[in-house]
Amino acid sequence: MAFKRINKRNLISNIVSIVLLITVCIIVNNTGNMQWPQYISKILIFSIAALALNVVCGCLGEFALGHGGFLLIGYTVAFLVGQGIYGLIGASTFKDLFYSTREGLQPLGYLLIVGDSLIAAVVTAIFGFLVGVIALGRLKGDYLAIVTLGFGLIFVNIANNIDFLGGTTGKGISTKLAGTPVLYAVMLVITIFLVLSFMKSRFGRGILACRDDNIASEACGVPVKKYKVLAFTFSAFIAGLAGGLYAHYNTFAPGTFGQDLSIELLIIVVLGGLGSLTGSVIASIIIVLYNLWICSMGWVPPFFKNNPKIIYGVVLVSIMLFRSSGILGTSEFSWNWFYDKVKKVWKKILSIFKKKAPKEVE
Amino acid sequence: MKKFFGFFVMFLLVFCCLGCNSSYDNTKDNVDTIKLGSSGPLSGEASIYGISVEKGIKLAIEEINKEGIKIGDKKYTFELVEFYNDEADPDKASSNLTKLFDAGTDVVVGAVTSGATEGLIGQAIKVGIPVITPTGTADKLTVGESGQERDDRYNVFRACFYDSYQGKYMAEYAVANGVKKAYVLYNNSSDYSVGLKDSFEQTAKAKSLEVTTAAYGEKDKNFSAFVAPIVSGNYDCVYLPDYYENVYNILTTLYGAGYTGVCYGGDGWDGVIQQVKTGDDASFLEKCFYTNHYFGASESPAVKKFVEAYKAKYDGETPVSFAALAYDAVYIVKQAIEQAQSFKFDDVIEALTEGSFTGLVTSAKQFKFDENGNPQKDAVIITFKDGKEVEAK
Amino acid sequence: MDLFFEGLKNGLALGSAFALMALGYSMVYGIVKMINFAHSEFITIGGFVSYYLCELLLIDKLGNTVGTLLICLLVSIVVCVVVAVITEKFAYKPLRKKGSSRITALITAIGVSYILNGILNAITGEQLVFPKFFDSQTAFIITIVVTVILLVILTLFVKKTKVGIAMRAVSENENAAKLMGINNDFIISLTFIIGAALAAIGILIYLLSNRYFRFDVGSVVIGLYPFVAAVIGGIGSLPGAVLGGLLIGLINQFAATYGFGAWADFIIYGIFVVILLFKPAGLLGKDVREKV
Repeated sequence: MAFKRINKRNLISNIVSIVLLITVCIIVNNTGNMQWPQYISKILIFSIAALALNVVCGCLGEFALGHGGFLLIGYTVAFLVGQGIYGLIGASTFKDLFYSTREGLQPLGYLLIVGDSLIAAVVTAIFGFLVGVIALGRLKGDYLAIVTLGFGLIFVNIANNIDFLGGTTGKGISTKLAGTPVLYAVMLVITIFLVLSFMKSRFGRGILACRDDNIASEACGVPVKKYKVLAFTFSAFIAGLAGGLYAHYNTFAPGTFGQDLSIELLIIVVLGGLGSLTGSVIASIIIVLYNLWICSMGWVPPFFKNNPKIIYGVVLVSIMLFRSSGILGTSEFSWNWFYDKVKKVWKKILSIFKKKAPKEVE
Repeated sequence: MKKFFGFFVMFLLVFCCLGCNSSYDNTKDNVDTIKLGSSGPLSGEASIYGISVEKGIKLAIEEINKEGIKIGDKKYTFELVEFYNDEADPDKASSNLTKLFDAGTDVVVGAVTSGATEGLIGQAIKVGIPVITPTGTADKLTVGESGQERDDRYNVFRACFYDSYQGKYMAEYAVANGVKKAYVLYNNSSDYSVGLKDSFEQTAKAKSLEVTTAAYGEKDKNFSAFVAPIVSGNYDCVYLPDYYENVYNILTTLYGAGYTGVCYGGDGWDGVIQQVKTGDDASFLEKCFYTNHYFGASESPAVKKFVEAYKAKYDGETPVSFAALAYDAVYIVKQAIEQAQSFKFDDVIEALTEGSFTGLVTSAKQFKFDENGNPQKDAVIITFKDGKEVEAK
Repeated sequence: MDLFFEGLKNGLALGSAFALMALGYSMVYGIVKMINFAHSEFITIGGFVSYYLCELLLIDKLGNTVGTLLICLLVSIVVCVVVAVITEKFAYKPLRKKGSSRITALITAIGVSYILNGILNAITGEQLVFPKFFDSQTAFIITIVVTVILLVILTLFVKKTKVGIAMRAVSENENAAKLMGINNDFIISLTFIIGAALAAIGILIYLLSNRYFRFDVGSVVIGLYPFVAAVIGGIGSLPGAVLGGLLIGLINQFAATYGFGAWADFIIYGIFVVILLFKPAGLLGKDVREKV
């Protein structure tokens, strides 16, 4: 991961990006258009989840194929907490205080969403800690990936079989307490801030050392196992946060958090570039929009509309064959790079005109 | 300079987003079409149901447009904005609703599976667009999980039975026919199956009928192991609340293993008779009974007209209850619009809440929606004789 | 007692089918060191080919005989092998040559499985019914016999023939094998070929007892079971894969027979995780210590 020095210029351009992101979300929410608030909400939530996975894959260097399970835990805790409060204070008080479909989200409602997502994140972190302690000490590489897959499947299976936790048909709270894109945008910004601080701290740098060379770091005094478990727990925390927010986005059956979701998140992370935070965000934009928007557009022939996986597969294979480090590799997106590129193109266009002018004068 | 550049790019993005906004205008000055939209599974395991629903909707629209819908002096026609594929996924279904809303849809006839419909409703209640699901049977769709959210979901209706009704009906039928020991083998990955099993079990217990339940999952296609305890347990009735493909599979396995009792089912059984392949011994069907909305070979004019028109349009294919329900849903919408003399959201919803609906395939008599948006229809019991369906008494 | 034997019989039959499919996963993972997610699609392709061929041949009134089955088997093996070879040549080999990471290979495999899944879905989304060839007793016997025979053949192949020994060499240490003059590319392609053939045989055995299937039989219904079986038994161990497959089949069917079918997956994945944590080499695998 490229660690840029925090200097004044970067800080300002970052703040500007954040402000603009939030402005976009506010505008999109108030145009009366329904599609884009939904797409943007899903993009933001998936970005948070992808960041969680990126901490494990990009920074820790291990692959977790079971993060869908952590999202499920976050989702379940969030909707249980929400249901609990709804049950405790009754429907009409709930609507006055927090959210109703007619009035929308009240200020307390925002707090409630953030609150139950944080509770969800903490509970998920506990599970992450347990899984981490059990698994990270003994396994690495492929076996670790497989065991995380196993844990993910176990979580899904338990939720499927216990009706209280959702059962096979799924329970949720998104109709009683729905979130807005602005809220998700703020949570994403907070998450990016948390992940960056984590990466820049002692723990983060220690973990990067572990990724690069396990044994050497151990020899240098980095408590490898402790840091690995810590990173995994942190990742589970963020994943739980994403899961909690997901509960306010739509209602899902536990089955949707299984293999398919875990693989989808993995694809987003690899596509964006392992270790690149902005890469994960950009990749989640692409994947979510592909699944929700492009697949139903008019100009797509019915054959592909009903079998979107074919294109998905072709794109995946092509990207892996031709640019396997992902879109951004390990570097971050920065306006500087973008600006420089555009400046180059602009200069080229100007120089073409300059070349022509002298001839015309003659 | 760089800051300014950043601003510039971001504003471009904002304009792109705004540009994709098609502002919704419910008044039609120049156009005389009323827009319907739908969402259902066109690929994946549930695709046969989605395709049936799509066929029913298209047939109904084609027929209605020949005469048109009269509002005041103007004649309107239905236009199907799109039948979006949601792959039975609630997220895709809810995004389909947003697309339909942005395209100016007036009424949504969808979705097909209960899970997807719940997702779609999540968005629909935010804007109050009338939704009538032809085949979403889960109780919670119209009243919420707590059962008390009808005032939030005032715009949601359904054209089919709700799960509690069918399960209860069949349990009462079982008791009335002297069943002593019942076994419910249900599909725990289907809301429909679980819903029917719940209400059957509840009613059976209330009537002191001994009931055992066991579940299989969406992956299970070989039922030899599942029927073994039934055969050895001397049950006289098996309730199979699943869809016809699985049901036929289970029935052949069950009776093939030596079961001698009766089997009951729900409206998902409609289509079992088409699963019988030439050479199969399907005499066991004479011991099978299921609840349905209508009897396919009935002499009633509405049913005959529908079946013939469907066969004519779709190469001789016999319709199943999904298609009939979808067909009826469109006709219900037409009648509601005519009764309200308007296609505005609230007017249509009021007409659906207050009005009466007649002449439908899936209801022999005139009916109204009850206070929970469920149609007050009676079930018919179908059984089999000589390889054909007959009504049972 | 009747119930027990019913469960046992069904479990062994299902387990044998899983065992054959698990062998494919195990060999590919053991030798090429990649989890071939597309294997489940190879399985389904084999099933589709057998089904459509049977429909064709039975229409020509060749009858529900062993002969028809053998023709189906041969053709489906050929088709699966061709698909596997094409996949390996165009998707996996370039990555190996580039020296890409394991995760890239994994995602490519996922991509390939999505493509094949989409194509199969496009062919038909309906439920297909494989024609009935044998009653359940005969099917059971055939299943067990075929599995045992294949296991014996494979073990002999890997232990006694030159090619088999070369495969084991590549699995132990790729570079050393190259230095010894073994053509790694050929060995890897051969592994995929054998894996695909086993998948085709496995699905045919499966369809003898489980006649109702769809395009997702490999990816959803059978899903991760063969892979889990291979890991439980021990990657790289042939008898291990068979043991794992049988174990999973038995758990699945006993759970169904005794009424806790919904928890079968929980038990299987639970065992999977426990084995990975406490005996990662699997039940019959060899423990290899990492040298510093």
